[in-house]
Amino acid sequence: MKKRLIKVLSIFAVAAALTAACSGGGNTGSGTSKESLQNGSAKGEEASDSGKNGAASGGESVFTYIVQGDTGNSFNPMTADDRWGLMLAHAVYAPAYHIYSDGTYDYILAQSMEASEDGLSYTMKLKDGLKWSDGQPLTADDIVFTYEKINESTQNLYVGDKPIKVEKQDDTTVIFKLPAVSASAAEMLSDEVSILPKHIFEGRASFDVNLIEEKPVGAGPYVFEEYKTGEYIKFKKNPYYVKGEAAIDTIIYRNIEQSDTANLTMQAGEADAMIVPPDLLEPYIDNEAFEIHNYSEGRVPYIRLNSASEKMKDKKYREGVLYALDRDEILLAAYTDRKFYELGYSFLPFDNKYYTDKVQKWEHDVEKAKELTKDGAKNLKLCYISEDSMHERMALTIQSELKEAGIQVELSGVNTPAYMKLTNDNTVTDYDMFIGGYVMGSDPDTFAMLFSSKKDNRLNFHNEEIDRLFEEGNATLDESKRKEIYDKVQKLVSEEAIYYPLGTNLRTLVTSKRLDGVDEAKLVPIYTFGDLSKLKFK
Amino acid sequence: MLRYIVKRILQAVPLMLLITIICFALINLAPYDAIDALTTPDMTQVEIDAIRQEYGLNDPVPVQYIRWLKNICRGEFGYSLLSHTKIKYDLMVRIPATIKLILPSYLTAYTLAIILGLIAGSCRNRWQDKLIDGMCSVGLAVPTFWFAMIMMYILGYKLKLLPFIGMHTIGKENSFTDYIRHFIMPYTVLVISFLPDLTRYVRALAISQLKEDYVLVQRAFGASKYEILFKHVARNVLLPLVTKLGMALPMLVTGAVITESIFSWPGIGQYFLKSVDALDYPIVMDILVLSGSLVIIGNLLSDILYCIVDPRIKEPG
Repeated sequence: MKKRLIKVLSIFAVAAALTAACSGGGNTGSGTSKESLQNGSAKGEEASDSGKNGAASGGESVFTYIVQGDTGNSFNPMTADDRWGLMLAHAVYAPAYHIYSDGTYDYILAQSMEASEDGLSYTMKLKDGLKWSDGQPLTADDIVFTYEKINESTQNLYVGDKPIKVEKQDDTTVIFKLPAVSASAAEMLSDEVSILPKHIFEGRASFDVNLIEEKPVGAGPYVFEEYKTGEYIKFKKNPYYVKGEAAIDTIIYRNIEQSDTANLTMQAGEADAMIVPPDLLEPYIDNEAFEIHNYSEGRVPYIRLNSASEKMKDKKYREGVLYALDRDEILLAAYTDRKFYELGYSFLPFDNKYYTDKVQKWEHDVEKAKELTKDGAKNLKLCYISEDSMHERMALTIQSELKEAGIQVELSGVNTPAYMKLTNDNTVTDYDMFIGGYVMGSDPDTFAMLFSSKKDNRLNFHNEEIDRLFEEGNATLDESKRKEIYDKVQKLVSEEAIYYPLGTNLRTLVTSKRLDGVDEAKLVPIYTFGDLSKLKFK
Repeated sequence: MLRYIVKRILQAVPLMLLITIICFALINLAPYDAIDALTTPDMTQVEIDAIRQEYGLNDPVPVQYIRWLKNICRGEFGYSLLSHTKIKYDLMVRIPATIKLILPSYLTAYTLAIILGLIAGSCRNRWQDKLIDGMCSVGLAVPTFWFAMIMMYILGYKLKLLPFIGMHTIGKENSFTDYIRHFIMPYTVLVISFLPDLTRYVRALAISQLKEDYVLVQRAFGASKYEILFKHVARNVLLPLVTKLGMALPMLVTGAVITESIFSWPGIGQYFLKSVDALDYPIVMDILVLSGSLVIIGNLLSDILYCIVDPRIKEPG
């Protein structure tokens, strides 16, 4: 018996010795962390293999970004709508131009986009010498092909019930003809549209790209290299990128869904960037190895009073409920520190050029709240997403604030699909309040679907004046007139006492100290980096 | 024997069909609309209706069931509602990844459990038994995720002895050494999590077997303790363990959800969990049917192995 035990133990000893030998011999994996942080490039076997390209420069540069999701084995650049699919599209394909939240244009494939005086047509002029990643020329034919295909399958480029027509004028000029004036047309035609190669997709039944068997051809800063199910997507720089070849050779989107593991990977120096929620940020604060970037995705968290619920029919009562709330306290509970959010009083994010705070703010006033709610319901039910820790903290704060005003709140956390089902149904009466949040476009017309009863009316508003003003705003091209109109809309939406915006929460990106060019690349909603080609290592 | 096997397989077919019906019915009874997983807030009703049509969500439930069953039989597992990707491709990569992790772990735990269980059982209430039983108690009390995190923190992060994410270092997919280095930590965690339960099972069986008359007879004939334990008791202990082995078959699909998730092992566990969370029901149904089928196959294998291992058991019926 003793001999057998010794045998078993010796097997473990050999295994341990082998492990130690492996870790001593290899300079990859976790062992490379410090080194890779210092020299800015050598990473894994690939890096050492490509050392022949120049050992002095540290070989091939690899940027690893931790993402918490998987794009899947196939990808459709036309219909991608999830964050990871859109990030992949953004790396491989390029739009004609991008509009930042402050309204400035970043021209990518296009050189200019000019509206006609009557606002019924737009002329897009392409840059000269554009090429796809396979070396083929990118022309107006590709632009026309892309927009026509979008119109064949969706109504994303419709004004009213008619599509925007696309015509080629010459190899570098495209005309967009609108059926009616639409101030948001420029945004509709902008960077949600990945320009697709006609020579690849023409004649194909669908735009699905099998990432295991195919290599998509695009005009973005990077070219798709490899997809490993559940592990990563790898990109190599595109030599033909219109804004110049990217500074970093390889980009890897590493899929680590468990946040503790992702954090440990980041802290071990095995990745260069990741999005960190405020409650997990502590190890990175005042840490010389990392930089923290807070930026706005234009996400507006809000509380909605359910106007379909019997308890919320009385406007005075709703006003009382809103007076009981304190947006600063709610956001502080959710995001732990004021540097992770900006207070806001309108449905637009604080950095939108149409934003105004000259609206009814429903500033916290418990006495007013008690007075206005004295004849109303004393028990309310609040719906939120149970797996979202920030929602949960917000819900607890709302519960304690309303308790002060004499209202008991029952917290009801549901999972995301159930939440989507409930909030998309404007007839639901089981809940009196909802916690929510949205990221819309930069043009205020994109918010119409939340508040206009003539559109999707996601927040269940029924105010004809609001509907009319949204229509008027979209049909007006004059900037100052539009500003006036949307000021009024913001005021009216607030006065309805259905919707209580909390502000704009910021997204926190942690990067390794060696990463440079984040400001030039610009941090943007969804994709994180506006122009990946501008990222570089120090 | 062959007749018995064929008979059992034929019996399994309606059971498998029943599983598919139950899976499909339960998913359809869930109080959610699959369309919500496919839509975004900026979609119009027209677009939502078009998607509903495209995915056949407007068809009656029996029509949807028959279409789904036909596809499953052809090896077409459909598309994920969320990522719109082919589930077949994901399963082809993820199931082998999970098997590569679970199979060696379970077999190791199984072998160790037999040895440790027999030792503990034969040394009942002595220090060896107390030590093994105490270790089992600790093993049962320690949550897998905690143990995994501690291992990862110490061996991976602090001492930098082993890599702690994924199955391979990027670019070293063909290196066996690299794979083994990634494998050690999740493997150890799984062995530790499977071991206590199995050991206690073997220990209990050994104790009951040691009370049997044949042990007394063997002792009377002067057989050594080693002989009694490993030649006679072990054989009888292995019989119920064969059943346990068959019943463990579904674990090859869903047996390492937590460990895979913590070590970012690209297996089926995390994929399944995420699909359940997002109500990506084509994936949920496929995996349920797979693991349900494995339960039936496992039972079938247990019965057959039982017949083979124990000559005293005649063919039933």
